[in-house]
Amino acid sequence: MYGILWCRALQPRTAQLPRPRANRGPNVGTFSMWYARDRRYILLETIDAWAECLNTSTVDGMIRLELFVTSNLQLKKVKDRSEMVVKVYGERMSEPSRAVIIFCKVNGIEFEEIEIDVLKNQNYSPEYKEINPMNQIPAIVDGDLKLFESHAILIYLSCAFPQVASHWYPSDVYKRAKIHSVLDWHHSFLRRGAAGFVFNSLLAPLSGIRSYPQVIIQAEEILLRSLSKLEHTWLKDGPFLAGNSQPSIADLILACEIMQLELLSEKDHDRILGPYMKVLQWVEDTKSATAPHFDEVHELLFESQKRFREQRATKSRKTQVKSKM
Amino acid sequence: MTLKVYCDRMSQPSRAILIFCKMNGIDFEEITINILKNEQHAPEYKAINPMSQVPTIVDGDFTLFESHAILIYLSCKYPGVASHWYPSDLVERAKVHSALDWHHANLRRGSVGAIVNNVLLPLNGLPFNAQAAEEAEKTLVKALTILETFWLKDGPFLSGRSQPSIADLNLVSEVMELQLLSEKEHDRILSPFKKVLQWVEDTKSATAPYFEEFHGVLYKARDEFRALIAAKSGEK
Repeated sequence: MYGILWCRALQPRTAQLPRPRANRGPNVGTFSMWYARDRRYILLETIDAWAECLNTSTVDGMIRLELFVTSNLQLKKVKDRSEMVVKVYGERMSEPSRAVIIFCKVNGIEFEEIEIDVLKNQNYSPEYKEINPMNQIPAIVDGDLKLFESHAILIYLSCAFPQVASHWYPSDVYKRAKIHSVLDWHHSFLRRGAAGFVFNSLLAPLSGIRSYPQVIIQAEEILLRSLSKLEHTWLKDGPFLAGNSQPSIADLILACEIMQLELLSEKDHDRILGPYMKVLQWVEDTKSATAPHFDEVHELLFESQKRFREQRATKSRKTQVKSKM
Repeated sequence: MTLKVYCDRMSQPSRAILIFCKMNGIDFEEITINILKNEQHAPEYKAINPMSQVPTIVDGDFTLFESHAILIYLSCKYPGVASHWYPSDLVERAKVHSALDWHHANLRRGSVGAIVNNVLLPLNGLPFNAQAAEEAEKTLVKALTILETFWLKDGPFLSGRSQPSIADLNLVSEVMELQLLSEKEHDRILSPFKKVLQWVEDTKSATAPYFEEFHGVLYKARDEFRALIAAKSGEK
């Protein structure tokens, strides 16, 4: 059987194709690709076949493989996307969970959202531990794959679903490297600062967990340093991170992180974010680029913000009344 | 133009990149940025990497920092790189990304915390913070436990792989940094984790002779630090 397969390379177009070999033999080509180019989108996980790769060529960024497959084996269609629905485990108070949910909605990825309420310790249930032994959210299940860590999840979804627009995770090796760079930087800086500050100064006391002033000060320092780096380094060349003119998965993740600061008092929020005009504009630009889903997925966060601010206001009025007595 | 690698062999991610380049026959120029002398804060280096951290690479007119991003870039850019380092299979690749991401807030945070509190602070005559040291050790031991019982449960390398990936190289380099602890502390913390110790040996073998070559500086520093700290406690 002679077949022509088109695929989008996971590696840059100038590099070698993922492992096609010229010799005959079983499992000659074991690589992931998808059958794209205006035809049906199916994910072909592996091609276990006797196949000789006769020719490869690159046309408009798509790679065309001519394969000769033995007559008693067919190109194996391991997964038909239409039969599978991604399960997304998370909750909308969690920054990375929101990024994954928004990404799926924006890109028309059919998914089932399964809420894991961290305040009720549902992430420690035996059933969830089977999905993610790290007891953290988000996690996804796609067929046999169980995957955690939001950056890894978004990269996987960008590659597994051909309808995802290329600006989310460009195949250009240089642009992609810059996105990896900002995602890695995020772990140790913005996430550490923002999540650390919001948790220790607000959520921990509310949940009766002890928090230390020194830890809060340190988290705020890291947060402010991170915002400065966003403003002066990551956003210096263009509306989106790393000089991109359209958003990538990095913009979505980091913008959701910044949104968590909405839980702070209006005074603290404005004090911390006010000086960073580029950061504020970039959050708006990311919102617009993912409208209406960004706002919809953030509704729960804003309900909590309203509740916290009302609680603070009530507490403050009570304190004022007491001090006058 | 040759790839430039700005690094310090005392830095875990720097070593991972140096070993990777040698293993894969990537021509490069190693430019040392001495972090103990704060050379990463020099204006010339800040112009290359505004985050003032090592490692950074400069490939022609392309500059890149963050070691995971660098290793992925090198795997994709240089066709001679063997496929097991950064598999093209979508699912295998996702697991490599997952391990690399997990590393940041877990193994790295624990390991760096343990070294700072137990080695760097006493070396610089700064007071010992028992609480911070305890937190760091808790994070480190938790990470080692997860490596032992999850990441290494199915096979010699992370995520059940039979050959090392860039995640193995990076994370093993991190575990090696614990050599800087006193022999007693090192053995106390690491000895319960048999699979972790075997995995370090397997990664060393898979990257011989470069692994030992690039860890030479670390071993030398270890011996010096241990002697200095012993002398300081002797004085007390």
